[in-house]
Amino acid sequence: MRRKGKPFALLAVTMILTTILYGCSGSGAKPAASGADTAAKGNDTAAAAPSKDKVEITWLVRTDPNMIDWEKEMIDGFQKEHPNITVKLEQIPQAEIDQRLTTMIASGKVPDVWSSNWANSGFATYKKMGALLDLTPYVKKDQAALSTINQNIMNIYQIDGKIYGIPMLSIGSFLFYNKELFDKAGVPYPTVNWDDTSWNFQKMLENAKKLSSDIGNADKQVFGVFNSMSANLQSWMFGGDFFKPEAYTSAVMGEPAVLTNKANKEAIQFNVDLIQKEKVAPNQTTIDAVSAIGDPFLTGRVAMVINGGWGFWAYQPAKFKWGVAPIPYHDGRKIALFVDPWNISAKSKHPAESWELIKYLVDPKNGGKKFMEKTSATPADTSLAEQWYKQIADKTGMKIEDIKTLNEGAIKNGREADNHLIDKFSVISNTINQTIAGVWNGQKSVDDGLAEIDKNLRSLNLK
Amino acid sequence: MNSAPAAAEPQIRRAAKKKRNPELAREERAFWLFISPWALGFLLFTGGPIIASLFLSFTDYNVIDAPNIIGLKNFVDLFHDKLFYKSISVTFYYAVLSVPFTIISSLLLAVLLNNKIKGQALFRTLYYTPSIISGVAVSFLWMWLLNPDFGVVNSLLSQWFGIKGPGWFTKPNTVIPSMVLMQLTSIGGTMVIFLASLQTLPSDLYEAASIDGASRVKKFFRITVPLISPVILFNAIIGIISSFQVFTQAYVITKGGPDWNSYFYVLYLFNTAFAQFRMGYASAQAWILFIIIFALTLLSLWVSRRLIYYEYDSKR
Repeated sequence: MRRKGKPFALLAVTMILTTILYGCSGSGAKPAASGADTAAKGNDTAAAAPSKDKVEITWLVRTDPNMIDWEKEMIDGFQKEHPNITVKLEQIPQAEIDQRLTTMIASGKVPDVWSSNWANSGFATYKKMGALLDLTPYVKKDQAALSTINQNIMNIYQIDGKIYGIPMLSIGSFLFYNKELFDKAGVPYPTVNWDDTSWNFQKMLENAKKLSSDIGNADKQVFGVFNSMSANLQSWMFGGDFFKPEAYTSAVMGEPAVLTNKANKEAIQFNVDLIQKEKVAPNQTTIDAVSAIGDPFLTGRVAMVINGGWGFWAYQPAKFKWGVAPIPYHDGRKIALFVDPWNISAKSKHPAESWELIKYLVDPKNGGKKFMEKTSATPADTSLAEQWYKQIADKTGMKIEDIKTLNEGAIKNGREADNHLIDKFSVISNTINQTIAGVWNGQKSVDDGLAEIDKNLRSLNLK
Repeated sequence: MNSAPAAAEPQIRRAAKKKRNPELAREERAFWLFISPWALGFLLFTGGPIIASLFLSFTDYNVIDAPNIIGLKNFVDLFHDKLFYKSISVTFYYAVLSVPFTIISSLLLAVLLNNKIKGQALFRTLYYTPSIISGVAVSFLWMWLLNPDFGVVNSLLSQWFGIKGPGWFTKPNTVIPSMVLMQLTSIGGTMVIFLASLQTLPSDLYEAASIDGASRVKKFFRITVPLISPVILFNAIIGIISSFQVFTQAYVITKGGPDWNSYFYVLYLFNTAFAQFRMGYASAQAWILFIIIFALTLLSLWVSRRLIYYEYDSKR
């Protein structure tokens, strides 16, 4: 009998465990239904008022060891001001956010506050999916608190008259250059003035030729220039565009303009020539190899790099002096702005409390200011601009007024990046990249490559 | 004389059955008891989602909105989807190269490691270790080894043999063979299964063959291979299944490129689900994958019926 007892005990334990687990998953499924109710309520134009009851909200961020201090400080400060609200921090690596968010949304257990651009799919994808709450009533209610945010930047996440995100930062695109390599080659530094038409792509190529040396010798080679932007963003710089203007406002890719906009060919051909004909730019395998250990510019082997404005802080560890210039001039030039917003989930059960947290995070006297000090990211809030110029000037040794000129020019010539404004852009960019790699390494002609991209984008049939 | 025991047999069997019954019943009960954690876990956590995905494959589910039933539309669309055929052909091509490569290399390795030499345990550990490293780490390792300009492999090729190495992952025609080559660091599991079966082989057969003057090669093909043929079949089926599920290498190293030449079926499925959020379509893809794998497994069982030698035939 005793021998028999054991298996039964085992079974009993298993049954209990299963019941517990099943119970958990059962209760986990419930919020889905109530979440849908709140979503329906969220569509009302009225802003909900914060409740006095004890409430827990979830704040989803990218896993980033540099940010954890700021995040904890925000939560402590916010909870002190709002003793009834508990903020639960959820950290997820950026590459996994799309996947995890999908499961969260499907199960109804959504994070309350997050940034749609911190996933590989951007704002447009989540907006189109219906995952984002219309914040217009809250913005109207608290206009004073947000009045210093740059209005043009604020408009980026206003779709059909409704505001879906509150910008926390606004980063432009620039050309970063290695001053030591310029001095060595006797090349004068470029301007900081975006309207100086003598600083154009032809000039950049001339510089690159003088700055390049020992190409092909893996131990010594120095490349003149590297454009790290995607194919479409490179086209923007030449006045081209792979998509029609309405793609960016409607969030639907629609008919591509890859072949109809002639500037595309000029832009792509220019970059292919830099790599293949002039041999002043690194090819893809070199970039892949170098990028695995760090940023190509930081190696000191690339004299000029076209990159997002994060270079201002990402390049601070450089062992050489560097400067910043505008993206070279071209008729119709547009450059990418990268503006990250804070969003609230449409299915959030506590939109009013979540809004309180967003207000706290962007407050230019508190959260927003500390965020800028921590990250060095260019603030979307104009009242922080002066402090940012000074902060960057202190760290880079550049002149305050130069940084100001550069940044204001970037915003003037900039428009929000394609991946944030067009739905399902990660599919679109993967489709472009499949072909463009062969164009960059000279296996395909630019004409063939663009024709293929056009054909493949059409077959995606994104409506 | 001959027919008498045969006639008596059913009776004896019946009697034996009756006699064994309580023991059998207890054994059966114990079987269900011990298998219940797994069975319940499967029913609750795997079986549920499987049924759900079958249902979703007939819908247009997109995560946010409630799924609408759209009948067979997903399957019809799939059969008109060029990328679907591309991803299937990429995956088949990989399987055709990878399964024989893995079986042969791991079997040869197992034979080598079965030799009674000094440091045998050390070698076994060394060759098995890479299989416990995560797929992402292995992918990064190979990305470095096979970088066309800076990788160790190409620089050795040019220094020792004066050959300009291929573009490996970066060229359309070498990307799949490169991924097959990557399997070299993942054959440990297959190798261990072969090694275990080699150790059970009766030594008298080999001794008899030696006395008859059979060479080592002959012994390998005439004794070893037939005796372990069920294990080869098992490894082949597992290999086919796993090569249809290749994902990490393509996701980490090539993103399906260049020019879609490593756009594996599961990578396409993943992108449909988590970049396009077309869960219905992705579920349809998953079910097609299941049918393909199921059909291939049946096919290999059928083909192998005559090639496999079972020492203890279950039908006997």
